[in-house]
Amino acid sequence: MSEQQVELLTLLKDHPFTRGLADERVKDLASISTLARFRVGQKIFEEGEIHKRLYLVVYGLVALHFHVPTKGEFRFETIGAGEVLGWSSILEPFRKTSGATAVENTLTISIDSEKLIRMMESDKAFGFEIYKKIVGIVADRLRAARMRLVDIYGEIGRGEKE
Amino acid sequence: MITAVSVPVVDALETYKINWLRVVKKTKETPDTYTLRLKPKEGEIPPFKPGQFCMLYAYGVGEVPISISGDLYNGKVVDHTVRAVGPVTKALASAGIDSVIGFRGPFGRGWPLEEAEGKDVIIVGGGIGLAPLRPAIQYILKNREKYGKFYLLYGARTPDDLLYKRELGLWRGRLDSQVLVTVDKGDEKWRGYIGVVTTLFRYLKLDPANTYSYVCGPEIMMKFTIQELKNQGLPDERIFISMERNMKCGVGLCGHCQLGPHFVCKDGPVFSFAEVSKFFGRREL
Repeated sequence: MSEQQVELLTLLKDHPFTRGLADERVKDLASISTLARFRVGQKIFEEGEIHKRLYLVVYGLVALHFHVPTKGEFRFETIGAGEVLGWSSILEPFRKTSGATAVENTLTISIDSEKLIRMMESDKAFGFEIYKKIVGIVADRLRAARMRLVDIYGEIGRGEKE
Repeated sequence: MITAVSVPVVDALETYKINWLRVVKKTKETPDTYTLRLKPKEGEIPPFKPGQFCMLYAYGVGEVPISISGDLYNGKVVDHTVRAVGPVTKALASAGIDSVIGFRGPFGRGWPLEEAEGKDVIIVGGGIGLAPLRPAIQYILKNREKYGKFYLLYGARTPDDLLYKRELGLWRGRLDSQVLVTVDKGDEKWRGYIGVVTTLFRYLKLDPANTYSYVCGPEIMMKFTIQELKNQGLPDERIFISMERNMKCGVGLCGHCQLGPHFVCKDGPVFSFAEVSKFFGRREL
């Protein structure tokens, strides 16, 4: 095993996404992954694009954004260390629901999502584990989106209102 | 009999006595929020605890409860952060240097800082809710050795809405604390987190058996934060929140701020969630 493969496997084992997975399965994941670095300001993927990589962020920070006609880019969330970027790459139609740009120098583990899906199909128990993790991530984002529907920092005052 | 009745009356009268303080410094925090540093015309500021509030009086306009937001020079000056939302707060926010403001207090129960000694502390603030937390943050950072791990999570709508920007920068630079700041909507210059304040919990590893939490912000923000703290395993007894109600007298006499069996001005404004969970989020109780 090369030095880079050892580093990749170590980072993968340490990442919260692989928590609870059998060692053999983490090694399988390593076999379809590479390390990908992004500089500040570098685009990782574009909104609407079919992009078949799932990223596990090791360090750094990535902004998710979409384009608002006449207003430009709207950044609505950041994804940091220990989080997963690009869940739509393993769910049909595999089209990115937002764009992603590094706002800090960022190191990720980049997983080939086509190979991951094949792996999940051939081992249903493993597939179920991965889907549970992805559903958790999507539920987390849904919760945050709901909170943004109300102005949670709006009204406060001990005795006087507008 | 007469003596027994007259004692609380005398105490109550004392609490209605207005002291006059001069504005010695004014800092614009956001487009509608200012921090006023007040100094007594004579004597010293009465001792206070982080989390307590005072009644500030704009001459000829009226009086409002405002949390104490700083204790840097305890005894000589006191900070209050005022958001201009109504006639009185607009009058206070427009006060210039050397203006005189009426002051009663401090009132109420503050953050349980002594109780949390030896434990980890997480402070979560939303919007202007950072103001009542600021003296607690300053106290903990000044007495860092008395506490375990210290986390501060702070969220606001935009970078322009963040309070105490210079101080936030200093706090974020400390190696003995984890300070995370997020905004709902970042601009091109913003290089930090984007998302609601509860998303910051993803980056923490709390020890729920050993952690105290202090939360302040609008009730909806506190509701979501409390849910997250409970998900992390914190018991209601160690989740402390600062409640907002229509406080008038400051001493539990007028009843304007009643919350179930409690008067927020006297028994609070800081409560453990265990004390107020039944009444949380309900008005006019």
